[in-house]
Amino acid sequence: MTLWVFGDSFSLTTNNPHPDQWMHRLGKELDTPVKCFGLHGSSLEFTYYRFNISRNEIQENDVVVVNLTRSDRRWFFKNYPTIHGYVAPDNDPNSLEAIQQYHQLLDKNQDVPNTYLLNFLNNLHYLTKRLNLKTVILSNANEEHNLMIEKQSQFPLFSIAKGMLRDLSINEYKKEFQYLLTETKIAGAFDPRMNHLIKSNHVILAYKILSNIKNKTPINLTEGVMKNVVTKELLEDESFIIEELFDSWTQSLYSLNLNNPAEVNEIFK
Amino acid sequence: MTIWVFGASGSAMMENTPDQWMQKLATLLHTDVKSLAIFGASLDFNYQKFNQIRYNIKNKDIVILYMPGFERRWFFKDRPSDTVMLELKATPEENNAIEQYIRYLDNPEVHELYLLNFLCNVDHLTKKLNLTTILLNPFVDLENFIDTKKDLFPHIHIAKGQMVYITCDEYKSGLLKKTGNTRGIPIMENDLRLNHMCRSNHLILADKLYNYVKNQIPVTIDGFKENIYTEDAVTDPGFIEYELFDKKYKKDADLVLCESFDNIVYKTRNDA
Repeated sequence: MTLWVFGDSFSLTTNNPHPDQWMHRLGKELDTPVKCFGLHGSSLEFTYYRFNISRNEIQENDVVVVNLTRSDRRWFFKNYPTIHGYVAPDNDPNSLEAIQQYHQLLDKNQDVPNTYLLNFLNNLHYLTKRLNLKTVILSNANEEHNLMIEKQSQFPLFSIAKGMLRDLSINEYKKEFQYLLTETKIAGAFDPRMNHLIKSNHVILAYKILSNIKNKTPINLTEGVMKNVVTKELLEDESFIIEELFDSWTQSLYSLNLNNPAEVNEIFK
Repeated sequence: MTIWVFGASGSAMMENTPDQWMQKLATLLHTDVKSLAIFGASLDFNYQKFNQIRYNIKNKDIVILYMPGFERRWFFKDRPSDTVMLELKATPEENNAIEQYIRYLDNPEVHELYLLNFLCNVDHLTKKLNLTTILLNPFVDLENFIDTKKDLFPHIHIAKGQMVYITCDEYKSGLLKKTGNTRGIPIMENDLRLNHMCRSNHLILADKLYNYVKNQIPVTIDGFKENIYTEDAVTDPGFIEYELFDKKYKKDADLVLCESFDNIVYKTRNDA
């Protein structure tokens, strides 16, 4: 059995992972190798791409966890999958202008990304049935979460988590300190938390997924999770940094230039 | 049994035209036909329509995919026929945005990925419902993609050759005006032919599709009539009446097609 993980920064790992990171904790509990292809800043298109590369390697009874990122991200630049459609490689002014125009005038038909997502989910559901997979869907954003809820009867074999990873991430901060996340726009490189979660929630998330796989317990990310914990002071507290922010793990990960294709490839070595 | 047709101008259906290829096929098979194709549609539009009606497709139905090329985009939700990027009926600001999109942002790999996901999706349904699914490849630019990926959708029968050659070869040699791009796609505007084919070739195509459905004889793009569209033919009343379906579709096709399309979706939703 193998644990496969696809998604964005909520699922990012390195070739030197921390054992308490949620996917590795889950892999350890399942006693299975982890193949994690989450990529910081990537779009759903990258998830589809990475899944298609792996699909023939997925075996019977494997576990697949997909973290669906926001559907407004776009993979415009082939060699830069971490640049998700609001910035451009080397801040090229022509590309930036084109991106701005695209979002302002052309990206108005939500039917199109929804359809792409449904095609992907249909393929994944078919594979889930054929290979008796355990497939878990975690959503980050409203659009995808609402679509999953609306269409969940079409995908009876998926375990669709209640609640969004984004809310889990934001609600870790006490209300009066959530402005800190707005300032950094949860942009990954500035969020001090590994996968935008404190360590306690990594472990909780791992056990929630484990419980679903073992006992079919529904995954509820709105209850039984750590909330209202993080304050500005705690972010500077050494013991909190060591205990909850994975200390140097996060620093080493985010010291990589994830907009550099060569360094992105390094992650997957 | 129902024949479900997807695509663009090559498969948009005109009501009460018994010799149009998909209607002729329906007659031969004694079945109903529903075309969800509309003029100018993009691949995106077809993906959406397929997902919209997939639960109306029943065991042993027939699905025919006569898909448009990669170059179209469905940017404007209420204008699904307005998709050919450099010819969009858009405002100057939108046109500027489209030009910049083409120049700086369009990532062809992503569009291949979407088509692959769609075809795999159709392939699974084909297997599950024991459908007969035929892919008519319109253009040269899809050929390489289909050739390299076809093992991933093994239950879809892929017609050999590109439909564009039927369209082009109807023209008498030298009369065909090329666009000048490398894909060899003829200029289709002012094409007086229904689905870009003369009636004779509609009937041949229907016959070939029938032979595949009934006898599993592979569909090939050969044996079609060539060199029938001459300079004289365009003014010949007999040619116009027979081969061009009297051009009636030119007057009201868009309206009829849009209305019939809405009716189809409405009807099938209620049926479900």
